Amino acid sequence: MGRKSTVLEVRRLCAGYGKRKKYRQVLFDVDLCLDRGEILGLVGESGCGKSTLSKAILGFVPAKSGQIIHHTSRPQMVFQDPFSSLNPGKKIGWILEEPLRMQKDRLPAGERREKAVTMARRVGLDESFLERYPGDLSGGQRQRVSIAISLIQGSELILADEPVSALDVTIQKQIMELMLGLQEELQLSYLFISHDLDVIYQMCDRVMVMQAGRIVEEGEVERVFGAPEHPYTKELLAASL
Amino acid sequence: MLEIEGLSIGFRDVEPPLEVVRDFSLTMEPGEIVGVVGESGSGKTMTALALMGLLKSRARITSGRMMFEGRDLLTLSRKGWEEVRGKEISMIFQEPMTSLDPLLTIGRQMEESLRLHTDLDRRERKRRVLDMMEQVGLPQPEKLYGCYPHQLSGGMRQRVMIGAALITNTRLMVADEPTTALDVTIQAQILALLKKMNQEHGTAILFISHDLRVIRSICSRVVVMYRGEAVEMGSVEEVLSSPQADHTKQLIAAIPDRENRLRGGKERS
Amino acid sequence: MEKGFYRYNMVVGGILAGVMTVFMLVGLFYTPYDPETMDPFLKFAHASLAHPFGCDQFGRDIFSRVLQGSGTTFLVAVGTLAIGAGTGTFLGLATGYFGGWPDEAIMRFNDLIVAFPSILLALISISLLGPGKYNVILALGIVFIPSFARIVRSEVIVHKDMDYVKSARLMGVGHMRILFVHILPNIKGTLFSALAIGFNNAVLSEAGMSYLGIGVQPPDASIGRMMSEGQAYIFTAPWSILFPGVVMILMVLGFGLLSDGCGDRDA
Repeated sequence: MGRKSTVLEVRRLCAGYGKRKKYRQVLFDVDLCLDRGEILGLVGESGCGKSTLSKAILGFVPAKSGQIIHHTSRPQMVFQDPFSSLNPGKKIGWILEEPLRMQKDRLPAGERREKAVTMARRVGLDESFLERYPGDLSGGQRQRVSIAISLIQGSELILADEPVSALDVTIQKQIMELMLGLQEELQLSYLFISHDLDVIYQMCDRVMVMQAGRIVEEGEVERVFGAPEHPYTKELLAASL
Repeated sequence: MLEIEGLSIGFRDVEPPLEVVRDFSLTMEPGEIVGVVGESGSGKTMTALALMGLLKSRARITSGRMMFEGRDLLTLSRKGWEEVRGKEISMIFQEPMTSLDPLLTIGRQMEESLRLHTDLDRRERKRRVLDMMEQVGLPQPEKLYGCYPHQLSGGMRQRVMIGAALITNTRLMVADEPTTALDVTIQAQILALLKKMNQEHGTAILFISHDLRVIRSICSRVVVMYRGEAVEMGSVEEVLSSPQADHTKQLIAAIPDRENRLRGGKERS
Repeated sequence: MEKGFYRYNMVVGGILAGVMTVFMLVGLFYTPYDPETMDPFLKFAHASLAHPFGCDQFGRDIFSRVLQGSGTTFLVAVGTLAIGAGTGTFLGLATGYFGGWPDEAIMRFNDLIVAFPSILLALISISLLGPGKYNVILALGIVFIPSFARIVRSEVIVHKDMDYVKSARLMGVGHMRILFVHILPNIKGTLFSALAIGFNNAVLSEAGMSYLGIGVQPPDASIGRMMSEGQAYIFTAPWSILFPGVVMILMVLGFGLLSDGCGDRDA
C-alpha cells in the first residue's frame, strides 16, 4: 500500500448534552487519529460515551471544545439497531437510491437504479431485495442494507456503532466478514464501536478503551489484550468470558 | 426432577399451522445447571414459557409430557399452576427494568411470593427479604427495601429479580437471557451470583442464552436448539470440543474468540 | 390483538362513511323537492312514499331538507378540516422537528386555546365575525388547529430521533425533504385516524352551533338547525327530529369506526 494518510483526527474533544444548567458533559478531552485503511476499535460499557463520540464526529452532538478534522468526504454510519435505521415506509431500492438523489449532479433514474443494484449485490443481496420493505428483512439483511447505504456515495470512513450487537452469532460473523472484505477491497477506514471485547479483537487493528468519557488506554489490539496497562482494561478483560 | 418428553408447541390460528417447538425432550436433576442455546427464533423462549405455564393463548402445546417432581404439569389447573409457579419454579428475564413493577418498592416486590405462598407475618417476611437481599449482594438492605426500581442500576435490578425468584426456596429457576442486557463486568458478577445461589441453595437452573460463551461459563450440560428442535445435547465440554450437529459446529465457529482473528492484520499480510 | 376485528371496523366504517359521504355530496347539488317550499297541506305529514321522512311544521319535505342540510354540514366539516388539519399538521411538523423557542411559543399558545371550551371560542369568533356558514368554517377551523398540531407534533418527536432520520441526514437529505418525504408518510395512519375523528367533531360542532342559533343561518338547512327546530314537536311529530338525528348518528358512527380501523391497522 501507499504511505499512510490520516482520514480523521479528533483533538481534545469535550462534548455533552443539555443546555446551560442542565448541561451534562459526556466526553472529556478525547483524542483520536484514524489512518486510511485502518480499523480502530472503541470499547467500553454502556453509558461511557462511545456512541456520543460517534455522534459528535458526525455532527449530531455539538462539541463544547476541541477539534474534529475530517480529511475525507462525509463519513457514514452503520447503526446498531437494524430495525430503526431503515425507514419502515420505503422500499429498500428507494432507500438505497436516496443518497444518489441528493448528489449535486443528479444521475438519471436508470443509472441510480443500476448503482443501487450493484451495491446491493456487493453486500450479498440480490436484486429482488430492492422491491421489498425493511419489515420483510431479517436483522442481518437489514444490516447489509445499512452497509450498502453507507458505501453508495463512495465514503471512505465508516463509523460503525455496535453494528453486530443485535445479531445472532452466525449472522454476526457473516456481517463482520462482509465488513472486512469491503474494507480490504475499498481501503476503507472504520471506527468500530462495540462492548464485546472478542468482537473488537477479531475485527480491529488498534483499540481505544473508554471509561466515563475518557480514553484510558489505547494501542495495538494484540498489545492491549496481551498486556493491558490500565486497571479498567484489566477489569474488562477479566470479566469477559 | 424435571422431565420433558416430546414437547411440541404450535400456533393453531395460522395457515399452515406453525410448529415452533418440535419433539423437545430434556431431563434435569436437582441442583443442576442446564443451558439451552440457540439463535433468535429457535424456540428456546417458547420452551421456557411452556415450562412456566405462561404460553400466550394463541400458542398451544400440541403433544408431549412435562413432569416436575412427579406431577404432570400439563394437567394442572390454573390454581395448580399458581401453586407451582413462583413457589417451586420461578423465572427471571432479560430486561430487569420491565419485569419489575415501577410503582412498587423493592421490598414489596421481593416479598410477593412469600405473601402468596406462605403464611408468615409481616415482620417475618421482612426479615426473610432483608436476609435474601444480603445473600444476593445488595448493599444496605434496610435502605434499599424502600427504594423503587428506577433508583437501581441494571445489575442491581437483576439481583433483586434473582432474590425474588429464590425467596421461597425455589427448586427450579428458569433464567431467560438474564445477562444479555448487562455490561460485561456486571454480567460476570451476576453469573457468579447465580453459581453461588445454585451451590448454597441447590436450586436447579435452566439457563437460556444465545451466547455459548455464557453457557460455557456456567452450565454443566447444554441443549442446542435450532428451528424448534433440540439438535444436540450433552455435557458442555463434550458438545464444545466434539460437536456432532452441523448447527452446533456453526455456532461454535461463529463465537468471536481470541484464538482466530478475522482481521488479517498488517503484520501478517 | 384480534386483527380481524379491526379489519371489520374498517370495512363497516368505510362503507358507512362512504354512503354518508355520497349522501352529503348529493345534497350539495340535488334534492327531490325544493327544501324551502312550504305547503300548508303537508304540515306534519307522516312518512310516505312521496315524502319518505315526512314533513315538518311548515310542510317542507324533511328528506330534502336532511339531504341539503347534510350537504351544508359536509361543506362545513371539510372546510373546517382543510383549515384546522392543514395548518395544524404544518405547525406540528415544524414545531416537533425543529423544537426550540418557536415550539415552546406555539405550544403554549395551543394550551391557551385548549384551555377554553371550544364551543365558547367558536361563540366568541362568531360574535366577532357574525354568523353564516363561511364564518362557522373559519371559527371551527381555528379551534381545530391545536389538536392536529399536538397529534402530529408528538408523532414527529418519536420519529425524528430514530436512526433512519439520522441516516437520511448523513445521506445529505435536507430538513424539508426529511419532514415531508421521510417522516410524514410514516405518520399518515395516525393522521387519517385523526382526520376521521376531526370530521366527526366538526359535524357535531356545526350541529351544536346551529342548534344554538349561531351557526348556519336560514334559509340554509343544516342538521343541527333541523334538530333545534324539530325538538319543539318531539311528541307531536317525532319524525321531524328523528330522521335528522339518525342521519347524523350514521355519519358519526361511520367515520368513528373508520378512524378506529385506521389507527389500529398501524399499531
